[in-house]
Amino acid sequence: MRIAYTLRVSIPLLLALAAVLFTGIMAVYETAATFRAMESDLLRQGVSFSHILVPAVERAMQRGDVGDVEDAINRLALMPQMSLAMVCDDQDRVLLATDYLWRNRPLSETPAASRRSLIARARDARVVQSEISPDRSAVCVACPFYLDVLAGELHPTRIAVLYTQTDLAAGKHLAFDGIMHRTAIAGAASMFACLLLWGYLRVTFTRHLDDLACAATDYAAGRSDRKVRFGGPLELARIGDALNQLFSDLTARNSALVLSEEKFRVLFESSRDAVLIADEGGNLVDCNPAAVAMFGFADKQDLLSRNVVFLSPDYQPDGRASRERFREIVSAVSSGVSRIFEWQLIRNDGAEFPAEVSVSVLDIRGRRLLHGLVLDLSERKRAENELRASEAKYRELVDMAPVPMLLLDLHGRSLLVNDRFLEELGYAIEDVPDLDSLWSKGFPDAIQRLRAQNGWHAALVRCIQEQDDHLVLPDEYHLTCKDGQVRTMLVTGRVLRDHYQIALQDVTPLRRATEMLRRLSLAVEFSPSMIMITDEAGQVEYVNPAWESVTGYLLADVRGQKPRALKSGVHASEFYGGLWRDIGSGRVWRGEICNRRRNGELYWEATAIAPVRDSDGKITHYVAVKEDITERRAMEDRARQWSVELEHKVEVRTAELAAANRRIKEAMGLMQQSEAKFRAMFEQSPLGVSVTETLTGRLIDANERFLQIAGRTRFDLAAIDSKSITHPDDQPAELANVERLIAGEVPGFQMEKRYLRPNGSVVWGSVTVENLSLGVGASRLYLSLVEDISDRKKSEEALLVAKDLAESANRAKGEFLANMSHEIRTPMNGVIGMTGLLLDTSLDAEQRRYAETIYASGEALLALLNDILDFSRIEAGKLELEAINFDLRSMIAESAVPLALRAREKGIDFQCEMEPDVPSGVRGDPGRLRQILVNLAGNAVKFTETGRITVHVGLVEPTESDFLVRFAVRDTGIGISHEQQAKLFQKFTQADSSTSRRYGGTGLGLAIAKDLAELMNGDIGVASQPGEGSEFWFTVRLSRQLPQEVADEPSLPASFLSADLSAIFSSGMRVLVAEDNVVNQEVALGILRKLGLRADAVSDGAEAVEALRTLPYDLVLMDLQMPEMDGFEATRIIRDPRSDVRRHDIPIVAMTANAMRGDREQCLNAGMNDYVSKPVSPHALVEALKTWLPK
Amino acid sequence: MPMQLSARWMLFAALSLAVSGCGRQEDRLRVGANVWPGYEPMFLARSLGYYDGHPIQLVGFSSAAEVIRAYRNGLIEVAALTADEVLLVAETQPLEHRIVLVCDASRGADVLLAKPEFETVAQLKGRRVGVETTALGAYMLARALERGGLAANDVTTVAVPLLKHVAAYKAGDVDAVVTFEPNRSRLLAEGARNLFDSSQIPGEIVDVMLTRRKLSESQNRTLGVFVSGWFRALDYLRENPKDAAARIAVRESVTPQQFLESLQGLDLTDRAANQRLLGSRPGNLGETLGHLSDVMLNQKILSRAMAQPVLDDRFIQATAP
Repeated sequence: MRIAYTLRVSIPLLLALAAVLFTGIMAVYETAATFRAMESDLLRQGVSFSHILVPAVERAMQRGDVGDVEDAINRLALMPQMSLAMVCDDQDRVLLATDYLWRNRPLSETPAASRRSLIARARDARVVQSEISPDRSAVCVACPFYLDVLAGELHPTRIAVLYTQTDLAAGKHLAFDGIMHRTAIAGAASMFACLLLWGYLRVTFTRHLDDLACAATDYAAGRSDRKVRFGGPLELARIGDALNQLFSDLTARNSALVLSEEKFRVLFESSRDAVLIADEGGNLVDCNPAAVAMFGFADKQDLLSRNVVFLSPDYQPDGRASRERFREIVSAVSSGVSRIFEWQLIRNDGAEFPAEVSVSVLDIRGRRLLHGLVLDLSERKRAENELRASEAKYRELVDMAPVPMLLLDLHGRSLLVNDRFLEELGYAIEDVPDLDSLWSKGFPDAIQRLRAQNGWHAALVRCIQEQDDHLVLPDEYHLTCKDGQVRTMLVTGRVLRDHYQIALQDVTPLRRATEMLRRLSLAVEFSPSMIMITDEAGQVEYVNPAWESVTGYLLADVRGQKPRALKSGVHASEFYGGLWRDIGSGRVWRGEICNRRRNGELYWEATAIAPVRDSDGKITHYVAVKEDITERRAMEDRARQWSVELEHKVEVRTAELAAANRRIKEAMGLMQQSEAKFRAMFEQSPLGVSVTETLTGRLIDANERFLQIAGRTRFDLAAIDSKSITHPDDQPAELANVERLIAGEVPGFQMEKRYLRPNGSVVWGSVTVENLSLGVGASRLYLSLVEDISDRKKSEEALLVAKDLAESANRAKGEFLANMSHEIRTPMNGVIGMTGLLLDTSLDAEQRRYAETIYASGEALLALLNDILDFSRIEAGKLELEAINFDLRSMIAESAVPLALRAREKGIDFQCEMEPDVPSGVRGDPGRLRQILVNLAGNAVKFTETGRITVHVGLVEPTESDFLVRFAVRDTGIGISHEQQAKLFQKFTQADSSTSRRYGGTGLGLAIAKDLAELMNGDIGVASQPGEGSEFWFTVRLSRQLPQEVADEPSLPASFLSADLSAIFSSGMRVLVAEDNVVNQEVALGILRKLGLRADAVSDGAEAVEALRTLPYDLVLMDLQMPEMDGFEATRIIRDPRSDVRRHDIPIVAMTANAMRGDREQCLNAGMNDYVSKPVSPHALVEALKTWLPK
Repeated sequence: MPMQLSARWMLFAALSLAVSGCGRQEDRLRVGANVWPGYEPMFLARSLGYYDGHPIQLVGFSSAAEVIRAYRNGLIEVAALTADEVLLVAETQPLEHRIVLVCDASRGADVLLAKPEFETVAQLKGRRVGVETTALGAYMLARALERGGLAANDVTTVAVPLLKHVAAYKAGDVDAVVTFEPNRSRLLAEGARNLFDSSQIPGEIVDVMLTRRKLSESQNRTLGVFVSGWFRALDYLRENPKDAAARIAVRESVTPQQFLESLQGLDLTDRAANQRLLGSRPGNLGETLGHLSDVMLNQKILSRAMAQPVLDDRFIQATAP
């Protein structure tokens, strides 16, 4: 039931109700707040009042000045609201009170009786206590104080209480009255406001609403001319306007309706779609002419006499009865929703046809009719079927196309990619759902992508402008496949009705071949060899520029011709016949042919002719590659000629010499007989000839040529002897020869000497001396034959100078390298040393990691420097091997220890196997041997992650004088491919450049190892399978020790570092190792670190001094022989009090390879403290350290 | 009129407490003390500006009894008290307090002074002895009587507030008075005879700073500032005794010279001694307190034995140089 109410009453009524409610709540709340504030105010006031009052009260009571206290209490009574103030003694008896009535009465009889617990609490705690009485009518404060001291008491024990009670009730009452007063005024005011609101609403609002209602009622009753009067507030006026508008619109629409009905009738009749109207039973009520035609009836009435059901076959294609479905449809549409569905219909002649039927319900004047719109679908269905078939065919075609194809719709969405596309590019349709994704995946490079997109758009624009459906993209595109491979593609496409068809053609192999062809033809073009290509008949198709320049013919001259013009006629026709036979049978023909240039010159060429076959194996072309060897042949000819001439000349000269000799001999023999004859021959000799007195060296005679060589005249002859004409440097040699002559040891001699001419110039002579004393006994005279060889000497000297220059350049290079390494090493030692110190301090994990990285990097850098230095020494041939006695077996064992430690750290098994026949005492360079071994084994540790490393040492062949020892290091590491093995021992090469990044290293180690092994008359090699590990082996030849010698060091068991050794030294000690050999350094460092000591290494004396200047060390191990500055000099500087090392008295223990007894004294004299011999044995080192390290 | 004077003074003290509410209630650290040379270092520290910028408020009271009352009622956070007073406070709230600083040990500054005609304590039998109704007074008197072979009821105990000691003596209200500096100096100047003093019971009269166990974080921090300022002031006093005395004597109503002399009667406890006394090793303040507690129970000053206050040496440790 609805309650009728009016706004003008209900709104003010609601407001009044709200005002009353609000005022009431505010009153309650304010009362509570005011009371709370009053209570806490009074409580605080009471407590602080007690704090102030009670000391005075206590003092007065203790003094017995009860009167003073009484005054105070009485004055308290004057305070407003102070209902009670009193003092109770320790027995709860009231001593003083504001009301005399309560005096000397027990507390229980006073109004404060109910507050006894409060008073007791205050007394017990001796703390002021306060509370509000349960009825919240009073504030009570109890304040304890001591009463006076009783006789016999040292401290007061009696505790009195000052109790005050302040009345709250009166104050609360007053406050409540005030609040009620204010609430009443507020209520009255809000009622009045509601009354005003009622009046206002009546005047401005509800009256006008009534007017509007009247107007609407009038219009409905047909008084449509009625206009609503404007009035009231703006909103109501607007509603009035809208109502007026509505009335006039409705009037206009009524007249339009009649017109519209006519229009619809015409539309109905002339519609090409069949329209049927039937009642709910399916009986047709109306239809249009199109329906009559569609169903094949002659007359509208014929059709109207049918029921709709009879216009359909008994069953629909889905197998259900038409009647049943019709009922369903009727009941579905009867709710007012129209339905469109496909329906099989039947014509009057019995033919079935599909149709689209739209059925809706019409409610025409209370009668529910079905309105059906029938569309004959037979044509459309047929077209659809055809289209579907054609499209399937098209897709199949695309799918089977041998080129990658892609169909895109006009929005760039992928419709289809064919199998070929997936195969070649790897992209499935999901990968490239649209053109944009194809762009971004196919062209990861932005520039390429932009180029491709521009090409695509340009092609599209062209298509549109030229009305051409062929999309031709001008360029080749480098399309990135899904697997990352880049293929070169030609792109063509077609713009079809509703999609783009894009075909890609992979021209990658073509382009590659083209590129190769281009390169090959470039090679042919610029080849210094002549190249000619002919067809199978021998007609020239191509010659290269080299051919042109040699023959003088141009390509244009000879193209299409046989190169007959070149024929020199030197070769018989059988020669050419053989040539053609060879190449005709498919073999390559090689030989030298003499041809004729255009200018008629003959020339020789070395020729290779090869047939070119087509894919069927038929020879189509011949390629001839020729070399002009005319010069070479000429030179060979000349050389042959020269050698013949030379031989001839030598023969002639030998004959001449023999003849001359013979002649001289004869002359000598005939001398007494025919002085004149001899003289003539003497003078004719092309050689300088002199006769000298053996004992004095005086020249008896000389021919003109001799005098010319010696720079004298015949007049000088008497004044000179053999000494005075000889260069002072050559005199002793000559004298020695002459003495042997005199002694009769030799019949003559030959020497080269310098003749000193009076003008100071020097002539080199080759002198042949023959004793002229034919008999036995002392020589009296000798004959000298002198040939001037100054020219030859000059060229020899020039050669020497050149050699010296080359050598000094090499030395300078070596020195530069050594200096550089030194200059770099010094600061590096500082870095490593300081980082070592830093690591000794307390660091957090991150700082430690940084410092350890600096330390490791520094050490790696030092190792690199040492490698480079070794390498430069080997290059310069400066590396000299030591030959000292040492114990091979213990050396191997010692070297294995640090490697085994490193391997164990990585979790790899490390074994060292020595065959029993490996000798102990050998002679060689232990340091360098150790370097090779450590390098190979160290590599094995470095490149092996799991498994084991085996070092195998065996004796290959012992001989009388030496041993050939074979070392093999097998690992289960990453292995090395066959190609990489070849490069392994080259300088600056690692097996795989990728591993150098991962494992570090200079790539010098193996090259150095190879050089060292070869210097030790050995060899080095590797056998490896990738993934299966490697075996590196090397051999060295070590001399046998001489029988009486013993090894310089006794051999030690392999397990020389027992655990207890490491406990000998307190950790934190720091030892400096000054040693130039890297491996010895490493071994010393390894032993020291194993002993728990901090150890750093430097490579020469200067670095050692520098290190001692910067870091606090406890001991120095000093090699004696080091480059730059040796151990003696370094010791001298350290001991010198003027140098700035930190400790001048630091213990220095020398390490030296010199096994001589005197070395110890020499070391001690130089200021060192002790001495251990190299190779350093851990045992000796431990002993020395025990002695010299501070305990 | 004495009563009015006292009341006015108390009013002033209460007002100053009220005014000090300017800082945040929970930050503020109010330290109460009566006039005693051993407590002067904190006033010296304030005078030297060591507490500037910190919410430390030093409140003077007329007697130790008032200090206890204010402390008990929560009007101050820290109370400067003698060890026996500490026990008295602890009697009603045994576990709520801790000692954070030992200020001094009296060594002659606490005295029983008598008219010149009395030569021994025993001669005081039947006479009137003025004493502040405090634990300290009671304790001193008890110990003095014990020495003189007298029982408590052999003398008439007269409760005399500290401020009235000199006046009561001069007026002849009492024959002897249990008092301490600075009254001691004044009375000796008047010719009083020293019958008994704290140098005869060394280590028993100890002055400490007592505070509640539960303070706010910021109050604890401020307490640290207070303690470190205390020791700085001690250092200053040692190094510049003249200037320090001049600053202090005004408060003590004696001449600087007298003040320095009065210091002779006590040991200002330094850091090291504080560490020992507040530490956990044997020989700490706990032993003294135990002894004291026995005496006080014996004299019925305490009605029951109770747990001792906690010794808290955190602040001493924090100020260790």
